[in-house]
Amino acid sequence: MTDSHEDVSDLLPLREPTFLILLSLAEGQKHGYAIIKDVAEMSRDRVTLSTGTLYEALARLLDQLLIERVEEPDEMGSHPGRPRKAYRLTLRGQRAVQAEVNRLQNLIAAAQQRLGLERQGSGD
Amino acid sequence: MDTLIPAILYWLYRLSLRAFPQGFRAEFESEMLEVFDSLLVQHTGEGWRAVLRLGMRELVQLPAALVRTYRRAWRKQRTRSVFIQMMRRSPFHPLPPAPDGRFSWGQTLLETSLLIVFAALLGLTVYGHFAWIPASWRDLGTGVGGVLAGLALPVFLLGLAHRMPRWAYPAAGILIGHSLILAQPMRLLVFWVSTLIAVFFLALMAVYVHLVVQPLPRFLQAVGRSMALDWTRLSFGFYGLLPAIVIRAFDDTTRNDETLYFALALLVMGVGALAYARSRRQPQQLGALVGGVTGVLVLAVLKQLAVQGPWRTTPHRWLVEVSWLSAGWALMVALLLLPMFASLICRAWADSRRAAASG
Repeated sequence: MTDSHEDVSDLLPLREPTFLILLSLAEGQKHGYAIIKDVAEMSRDRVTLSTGTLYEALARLLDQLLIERVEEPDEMGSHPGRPRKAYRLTLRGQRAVQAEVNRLQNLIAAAQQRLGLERQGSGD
Repeated sequence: MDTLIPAILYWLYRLSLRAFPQGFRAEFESEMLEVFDSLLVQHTGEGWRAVLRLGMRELVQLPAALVRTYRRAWRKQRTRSVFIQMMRRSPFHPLPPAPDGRFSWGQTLLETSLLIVFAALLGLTVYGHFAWIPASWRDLGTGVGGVLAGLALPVFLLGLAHRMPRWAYPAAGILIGHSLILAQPMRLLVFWVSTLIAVFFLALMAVYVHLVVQPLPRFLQAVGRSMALDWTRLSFGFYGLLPAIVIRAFDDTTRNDETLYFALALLVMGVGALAYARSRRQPQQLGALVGGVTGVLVLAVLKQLAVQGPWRTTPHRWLVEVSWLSAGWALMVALLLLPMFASLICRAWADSRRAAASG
């Protein structure tokens, strides 16, 4: 897909719920209910998404071509046999997650370096 | 816990989904209901506190989700609209860009309500008795009017560059009308002359940016492209001057029993705006606006007949009033038609350039 080669830097920084949704989808395709549970688990219940927030974010991510919708058979749910909509990362979405992770790592590295220097400075 | 509370919660949730835009609902409503159903089953097993927490979470996050969803829907619609505009080759396309009031009554009411609400506010500020406001504060109005008049043109141009929607144009007309017709009547002639020059300048700029892409500054190019999309928007903007003119024409309403004529004039003005918003062709749109102006001025003449009495008793005053109103009508109609004439002249110029280039 040509879009996946586009620069994703204009999408950064990602909002925390958006980042967590993308992270949740990084390990494989999921449906809405699984995403809500996974995001809550990853954030240790600090970020609990409502369905409105989740689907607003999913709609935006679909528009930005960061995720795509797929259908999976619902064997365990309330309508066995009926295909259920799930979401998965696109290549562009993977690039966006990676770019956000790099950005956060750089930020943390800078903060650690500065704090380390400060500690050294205060120790002198 | 019985099933009553989850059932009520599910019903309320289903109801709340109606607040989302139609396109969003069509795409996600069934999924959202399914997910909420699963969450409800899970939380019901954890007790009534968990169910309450789930309901509260949905409720608390709903407004922000709604705002973001509507903002995105609006942006998508705007992008589509701009895309349609860019697809049009001719700067003088006969139809303004959709979506607008031509296809939706909701949009029609939006396009006209701002004019009517602003006109009512204008009437209130002119005729209202604000004795409770200190005299020194009331004097501030003149100064503020002057500042607003100075700001009107730059703000208007900025709005044009960002392709402001059609309903915003009469608001600019009302603002300019209040500042230059009501607050400072002595500057009326300056206003007419500067408007004529400004419209021709905008018309030339609109053609220039379509025929010669450079070297105007980008801001002026944006203004020109916006102007070229639909000339009648500018006419609608001039229509916004009408409330100020109505107030001037009925300026003795508070002394005489002319309220009926005044109310009728405002009604005719509103009908003209409504007809403009619903018309699908430019001649019909301009006809609606000219009809509105004519109706208002005819009512003003009728009012003069009723109040001044037969012209034989006070011919001088009667003639002065009717002359003033006729001149106002002629100038207003000229202003409404000006964008059309400007576009015709520019089109002829463009055609002659094309013919010269092909020859």
